[in-house]
Amino acid sequence: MARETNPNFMAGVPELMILRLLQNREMYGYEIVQAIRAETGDVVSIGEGVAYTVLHALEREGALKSRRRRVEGRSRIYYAVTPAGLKRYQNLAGTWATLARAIQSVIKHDLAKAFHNIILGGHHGEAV
Amino acid sequence: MAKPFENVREQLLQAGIAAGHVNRYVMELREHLADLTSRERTNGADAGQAAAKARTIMGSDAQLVQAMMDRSPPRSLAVKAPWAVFGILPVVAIFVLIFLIGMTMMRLTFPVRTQLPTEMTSGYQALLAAVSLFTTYLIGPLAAAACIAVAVRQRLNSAWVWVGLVLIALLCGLFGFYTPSVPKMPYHLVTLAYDNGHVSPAATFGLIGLRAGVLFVLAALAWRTLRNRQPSAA
Repeated sequence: MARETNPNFMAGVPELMILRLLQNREMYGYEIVQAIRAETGDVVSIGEGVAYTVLHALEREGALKSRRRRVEGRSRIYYAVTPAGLKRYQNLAGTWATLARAIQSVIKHDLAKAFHNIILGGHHGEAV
Repeated sequence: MAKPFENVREQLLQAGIAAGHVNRYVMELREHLADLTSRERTNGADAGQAAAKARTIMGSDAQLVQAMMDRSPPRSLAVKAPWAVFGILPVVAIFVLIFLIGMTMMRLTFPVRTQLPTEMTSGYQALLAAVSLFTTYLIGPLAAAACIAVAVRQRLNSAWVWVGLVLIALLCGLFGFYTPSVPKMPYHLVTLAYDNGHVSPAATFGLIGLRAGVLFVLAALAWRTLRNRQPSAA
């Protein structure tokens, strides 16, 4: 069975991860997919074949550039981030950080409420 | 056994995605599959198991095709504007090429313009023969081959390919680079046939028709054969 991905939460995530990883060094598709899995402890998993459609789209938009290299007798296409890609990464990262803070704040509030109910016995507790 | 992802290639080409883009996608998928297979082998799987597992991890052909289609990949110009690729481009290319060859040759042979080819030095004679051969017999087949290659590469089955072949045959029947075979006749870029030292319209039309007809028949046979041999997506 193909590895499961989490598509509902994935909008924009592959782009973000790829643009971040490629700031360190140029990489080819297989390396990128494995690096994403390793860096996120398997929490984020891009479909193995799907990664290329993201890479190609980012390249068309000017966020990435590619070059073909022969390594150990095999032809590989290496991707690197461009200045436009860096800018795009900063925008995406900002959006995700804001979103993550907002979600965390909601969860924290929820957790605090649950904790309050459990420890203090719900609305009775509130009366105390 | 078919190479992996051939079905992905066929489906994307038939959906009108640019052939260069599709070929690169398939090449990268194959490289990725090879890396996954090698990883599975390192993890202890035998060759068959490793290949099967790697192929499963890659996702189904349908998923790979859909993933590409969802990203609005570049569409082929031959699909978006076949009228331009098969209707206008060959006409412009042939006109420009014949015109440039004609102008270059007239400039090169300017010092001997009053001589018949038989009176020229062997160097000029060889040059004229080579250019005449190229324009008369090679431009047409090369243009038709290019037209067919574009159509085959993109798995096209459009009536515009036939239009392109007809136009190429007509233009290549009509134009060429001809050296004067009759005294005082200039070099000419239009096919002309002579009768008793004068241009004969009937013979000229016959010659144009013959050249265009032969080229069209050969090109049509090649196109039909190659089109019928095109693989189809499962």
